[in-house]
Amino acid sequence: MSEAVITTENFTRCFGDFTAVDKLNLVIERGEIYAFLGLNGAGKSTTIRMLLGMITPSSGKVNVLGHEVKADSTIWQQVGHLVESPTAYPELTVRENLEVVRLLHNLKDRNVVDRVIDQLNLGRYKSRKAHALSSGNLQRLCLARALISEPDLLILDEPASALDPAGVVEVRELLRTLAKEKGTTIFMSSHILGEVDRLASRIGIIHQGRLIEEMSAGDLEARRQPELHLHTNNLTKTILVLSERGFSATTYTSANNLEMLTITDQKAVAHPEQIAKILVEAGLPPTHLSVEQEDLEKHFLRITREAQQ
Amino acid sequence: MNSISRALKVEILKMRRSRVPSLCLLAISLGPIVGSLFMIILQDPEHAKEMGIIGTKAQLAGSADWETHLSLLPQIISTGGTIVYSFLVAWIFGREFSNRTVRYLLAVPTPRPAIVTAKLIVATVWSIILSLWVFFCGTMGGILVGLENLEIDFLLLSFKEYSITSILTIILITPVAFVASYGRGYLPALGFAIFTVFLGQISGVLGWGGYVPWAIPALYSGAAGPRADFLFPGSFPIVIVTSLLGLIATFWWWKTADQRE
Repeated sequence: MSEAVITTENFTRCFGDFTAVDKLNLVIERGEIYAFLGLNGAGKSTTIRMLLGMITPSSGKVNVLGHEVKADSTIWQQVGHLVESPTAYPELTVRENLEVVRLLHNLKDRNVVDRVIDQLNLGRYKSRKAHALSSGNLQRLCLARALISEPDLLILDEPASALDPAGVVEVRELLRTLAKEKGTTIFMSSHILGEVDRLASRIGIIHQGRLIEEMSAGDLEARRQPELHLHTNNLTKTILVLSERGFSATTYTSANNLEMLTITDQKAVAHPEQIAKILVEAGLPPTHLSVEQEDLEKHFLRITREAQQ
Repeated sequence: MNSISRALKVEILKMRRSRVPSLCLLAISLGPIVGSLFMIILQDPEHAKEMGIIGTKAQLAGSADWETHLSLLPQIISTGGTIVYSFLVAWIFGREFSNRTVRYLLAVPTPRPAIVTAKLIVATVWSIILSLWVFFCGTMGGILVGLENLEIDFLLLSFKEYSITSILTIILITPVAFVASYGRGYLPALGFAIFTVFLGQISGVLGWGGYVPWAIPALYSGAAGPRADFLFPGSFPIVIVTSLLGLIATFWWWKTADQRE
């Protein structure tokens, strides 16, 4: 039977007249990797801080690991966290920063420091002072701090933001292993939507403080709109020709920096051969024509745009 | 190991790795050095003028003896200590905000009151060490500049007076700890410390010093003359109540810390 690790009930936080988080209801179950997405100022960090007892909700309840979260709660032994930008004591070395965490978490085993240093590949930097670390290694140090107590729950705000591509993959695999093998529940916010797409078992999208969509990885596949992508030698003329035939095409830049057109009209998606025919007849034979599902990034932008309207 | 001991170990590690405690030691050491310099001048003012140590119009009160020399030390600690101890406690609390490590400290298994207690213990112990260092340097300075006839009874009596002034100064660090926490950084706390020194001076001049906690240590030290002329029986309780209010406010702030940044 599944077990809720985080439960929020009409979780609201106002700052004066501004409602940062509005009646948020979340249920995160054990072993889930829950990705919390939103634009800047959507309420992600406020939610994370409330989950960690750093901000008192204006109204509503939050329950973490079976306990109501209060300002000075007793549950932090089982919770690892990384809130916003990575920070550490600048004049302490990597090792000393982790020793501070070991003491504050009352971890009796002194070897946990070396273990987590190895886990995050910080061995080369263990004697380096935190102020001399690169932003990527500082991020690793903060992740090590979150993982040192082998917590049941990880609450991570942008865990991969400062990492290089290899580091992103490494952290992704580490988090996936923790969730799969140790049953660690992970609640994370991220701007790297490609990573979220690969890692999350469930995704919540918050916009202007409200949860506007929540879905499992399977739901996401089903909800993604298929699109028609095409390229010709004259995109401006192609847009004009398609417009005359009732199809709206928009330009975008593909991953390999090529100007492309996309059509979301489901009639075009269902019958790409008709689009090809129109273009050939207009003397604009397509050099590329494919039906693709929108990625998380496009899905996210579409959903937040629709919410804005 | 209980939570306070663990938090204390953390604070001691942070102190050991920082330059601020040694800067405080350096800054407060200037007090007894200047005091000893005064003794050199008072021993032979004309020679001092010739050497260019003082200007021709300078006038220094007192004489070159142990009574004058040791009476300077409480005055040094009541004014210099206020600034240096405030700087130390402002850094101990304010750095968590400047380094943005407070976000981490607010969600650890070690209770917040244990963290605050450890910070205050470290600040108090280092302030006591600084006070003892100033008295030691002052005494050594007196011996080095050739002051004679130091009687052990007088030295002990001076140390007692000096200790009371130091304690009155040190216990006033708690409001600074609160301002550093509430103001989320060491700058508001340093501003507050400068304000308290200013308030202490002004209230002393206006004759209200006995009612103002930040004037009382300096008035007790005899900086303005015989202390009986300025202090009244309620002066000490005023300092203690101010310290307790600062202590309660600091614990309350950390207990209910709510980040709005």
